[in-house]
Amino acid sequence: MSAAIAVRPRRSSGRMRATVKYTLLTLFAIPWVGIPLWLVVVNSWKTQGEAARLSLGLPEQWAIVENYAAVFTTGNYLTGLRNSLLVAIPTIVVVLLLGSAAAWAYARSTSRSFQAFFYLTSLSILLPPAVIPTIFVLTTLGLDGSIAGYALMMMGTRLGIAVFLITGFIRGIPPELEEAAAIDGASRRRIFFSLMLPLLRPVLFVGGVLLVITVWNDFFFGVLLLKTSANATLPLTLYSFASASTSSLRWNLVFAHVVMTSLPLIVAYLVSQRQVLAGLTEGGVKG
Amino acid sequence: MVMAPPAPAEHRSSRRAPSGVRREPARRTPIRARWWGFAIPSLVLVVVFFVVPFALNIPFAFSSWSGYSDDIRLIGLKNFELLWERGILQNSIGITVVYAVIAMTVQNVVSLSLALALRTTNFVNSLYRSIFFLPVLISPLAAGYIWRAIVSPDGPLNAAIALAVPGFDKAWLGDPVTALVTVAFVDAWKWSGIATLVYIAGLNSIPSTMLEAASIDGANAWQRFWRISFPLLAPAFTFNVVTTLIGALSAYDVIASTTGGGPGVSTVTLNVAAVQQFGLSYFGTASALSLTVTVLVVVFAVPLVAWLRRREVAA
Amino acid sequence: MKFKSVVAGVATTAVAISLAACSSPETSEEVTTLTLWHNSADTPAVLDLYERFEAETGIHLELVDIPSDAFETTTTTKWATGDRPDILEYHPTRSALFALNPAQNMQDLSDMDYVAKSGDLYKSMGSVDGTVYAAITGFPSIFGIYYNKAVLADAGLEPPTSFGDLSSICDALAGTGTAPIYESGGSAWPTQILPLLYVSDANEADAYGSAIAANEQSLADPDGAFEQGLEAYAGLRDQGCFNADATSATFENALASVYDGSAAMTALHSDAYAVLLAAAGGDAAALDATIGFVPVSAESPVAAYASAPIGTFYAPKTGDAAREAAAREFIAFATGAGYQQLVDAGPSFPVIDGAETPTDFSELQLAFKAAYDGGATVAVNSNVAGFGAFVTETSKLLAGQTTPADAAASMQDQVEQASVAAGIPGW
Repeated sequence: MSAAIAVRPRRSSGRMRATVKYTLLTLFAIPWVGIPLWLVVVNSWKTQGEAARLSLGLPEQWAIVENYAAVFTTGNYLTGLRNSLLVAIPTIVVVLLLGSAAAWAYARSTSRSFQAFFYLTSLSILLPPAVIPTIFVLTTLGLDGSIAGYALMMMGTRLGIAVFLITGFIRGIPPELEEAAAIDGASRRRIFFSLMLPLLRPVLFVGGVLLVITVWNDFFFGVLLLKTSANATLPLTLYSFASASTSSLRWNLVFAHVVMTSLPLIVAYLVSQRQVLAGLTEGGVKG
Repeated sequence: MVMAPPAPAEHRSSRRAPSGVRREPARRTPIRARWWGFAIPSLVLVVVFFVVPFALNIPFAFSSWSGYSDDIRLIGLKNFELLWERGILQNSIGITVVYAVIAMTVQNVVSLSLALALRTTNFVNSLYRSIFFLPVLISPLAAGYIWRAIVSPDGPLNAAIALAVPGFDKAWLGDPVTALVTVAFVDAWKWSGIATLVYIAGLNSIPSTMLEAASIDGANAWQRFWRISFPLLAPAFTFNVVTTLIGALSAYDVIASTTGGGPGVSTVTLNVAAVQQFGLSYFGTASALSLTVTVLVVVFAVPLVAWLRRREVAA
Repeated sequence: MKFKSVVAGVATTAVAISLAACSSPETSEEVTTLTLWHNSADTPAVLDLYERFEAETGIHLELVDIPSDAFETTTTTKWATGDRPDILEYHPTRSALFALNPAQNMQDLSDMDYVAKSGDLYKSMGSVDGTVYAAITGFPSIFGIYYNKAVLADAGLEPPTSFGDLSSICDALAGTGTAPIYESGGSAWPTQILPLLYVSDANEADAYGSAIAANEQSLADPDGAFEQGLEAYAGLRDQGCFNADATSATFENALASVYDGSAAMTALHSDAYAVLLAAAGGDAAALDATIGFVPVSAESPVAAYASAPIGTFYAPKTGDAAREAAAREFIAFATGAGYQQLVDAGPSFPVIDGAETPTDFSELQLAFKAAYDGGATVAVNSNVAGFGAFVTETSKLLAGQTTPADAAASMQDQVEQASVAAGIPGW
């Protein structure tokens, strides 16, 4: 009653508040996202001399074709793309699969050793990986410098965050469903694949997003673990490309490369956008 | 239903337990054995590619390993002494901490504000959420290049400021203080999009009944936020604080593409210092700096996480 | 004691394993591929050299790009992991070479033809204890002052010949809006040049450098040329000679500014010529009309030089005899059959006897040669171990984060650390 009366005035002031809010949001979004991204895109269309001025204006002389062509030829883009995919896809699949399996064990088991394993794996999120000894390990396995070795290192260092997130998520799921399935005679493996993984979809999306972003954009370990130009991932080709001339940083080419490096991720994001947002905003992260 | 579980265990285990008392031990062993198969693959990867290298790194921090000679000797704390005498240790620890604090603050303030504004899931909000998520997808290296261009003396930032203050051409990356603030800001800028989404998740998990009850009781929006929402946001807060902290402690890419550690040494974080030592072929001191990062993490992050988790449980 | 040997054992084993893993598994003598670590900023002439070698011998050169922005760091870090290329392109200066432990890791090239044909070059570059490890094909980088002819002429000033001149030109141009000296703190490495130039007239025949290297003189001596040079640099800074954005400006900005006249002078080296030419839109004649180059030192116009990494090759020991021989074949080609074309393509001044000097040099390039022939001395940091962090000290000095005395003391410490690590006699 009093609530109903209170609602009406609130509705029109609510609309004004909404307008104000979205205006402020837009005003904030422009310098926060709009200008940086526009700077990249518009300067990737300019010639080197014009791009050096780093202005936000449109090009006087359009050089889109030359710049983007250069990214593909001297910028080694396709090789970088292939290698980044060769690393990212297996890493994500393996980490999410093995991570879920381990997380299920850690969440459901009461054994103390398993608790210890959980803490150990989670601790790996915080601690910095040690590069040189990793290379010794890879060398002993005969994998140094290869994509496979790099991918394995990515997996070993990324499992922590996957296990951490997924364990937390599973702990929030009541065990009744699994127990019911067990009663019905399903093997643990079947329960895992048919019941758990589908249930875990939100957190798997969250984990997948975090994984792909960090793996795709890794630079530091790539420089040290990948030996030849044929093995270079996209960040490496970008860095090589950016410092590839005795003349100044060729902003136009660098930005063109940045666009092409980010494009696969942006496309993947746009395609899976709804799941990603749903996973992240609807309980993918439950401490 | 509660009685049902023992039955399938009895099914699978070949041990026929005649009485109810003996059934318990028969159940526990087989289940634990079955869990091992799920945990082992992940454990192997983590141990081989994380724990072992990590453990191997520790002796190197106390060794004289360098590119100058093949002779490697354990020299106790000499590396740390040397780094202390040169001022490298104190400088990089200080800079890393300042960097982490600035990045953490900016990121959490911005993302929490955005989350409050965009918490409702509708088309417009989803659009804005996606827009603010875009920087997350760009590599830190690229983010560094972009902002280096924006804050350059003849770049767009100064051009905008020049509208109010004519002739403004400050070199943001040339002043020790503003350079550090700028690189920390770029770090925060890059990750805010994800933190926002995490906060939105946290906000949406707060039962609306609690908030409605509070507003009926007369609490205004501000009070509702601080008394109810904020404490219940604890898990999201933990997640964001921890990830920001780790990100800041391992900062390298952003600094490499903007200042390279300069001007002078004002943006040399621990990781940048470690890479510089590598560049001088002093691998022992480089490992010592990496070990320092580890120690910092253990000393600060782990208790922080524990404390934050306790807050979560209490809330 | 036991732990020490365990660690040493682990490390050596790991290095040995990685060396073994790196070497080719093929047992035949046929070498089809060689790995070459090269600077991503290699000139077209050098890139062409690689292609010509491949065409000539049928051996494929697997080029590994080392980003020139982090050239030393990336190379030494990869080296630390035990990774060895068949051919390495790197600095020939002794201070860089020490850090790679050449006696253990590099092939001895002293008996190759080019060594005897390079005059006195290998007395100070690319060699340790008389053993030559490097093959230098490029003309040294000459450090000096680029100046805008019109800016100085309009102010009635002569090009500088000493640090005193730099200071008086600075006074004369005060308040005119033109930066007398453009410093590139953003790129960091150019900040070393003015202090190095100061020392050059005290370093004839590398006397001063050798004394430092042998621990007979100290860098931290307040009356020594080195600390005096740092004082002079700080003096120019305090006098207001540098551009306002010195701590973040890049060397590309420096060259562009000197070309367009917003700065009068900048201290850089001859290898920046390509960038300068680009700033002039590729017009060498316009460039010659606008820019001049002079050597400058404490009291007299003496330039400093150092051989550059571009076009300097080493043949690391990889444990595979066939590949090591093929690497030497590459070096023989680069310094012999393929050398003339390399020089012509530059064009660059030859450093190996028997090659003809091209005739199409611009005035500016001839000025470099004149500075070199006119008594240039080896840059003092070239042959002293441990100078790697000099760039940090000069950057800090420019930013006012250290004093000349502290910087000199710190450099002396670093030289001591590296010299002891390298086992150099006298330390």
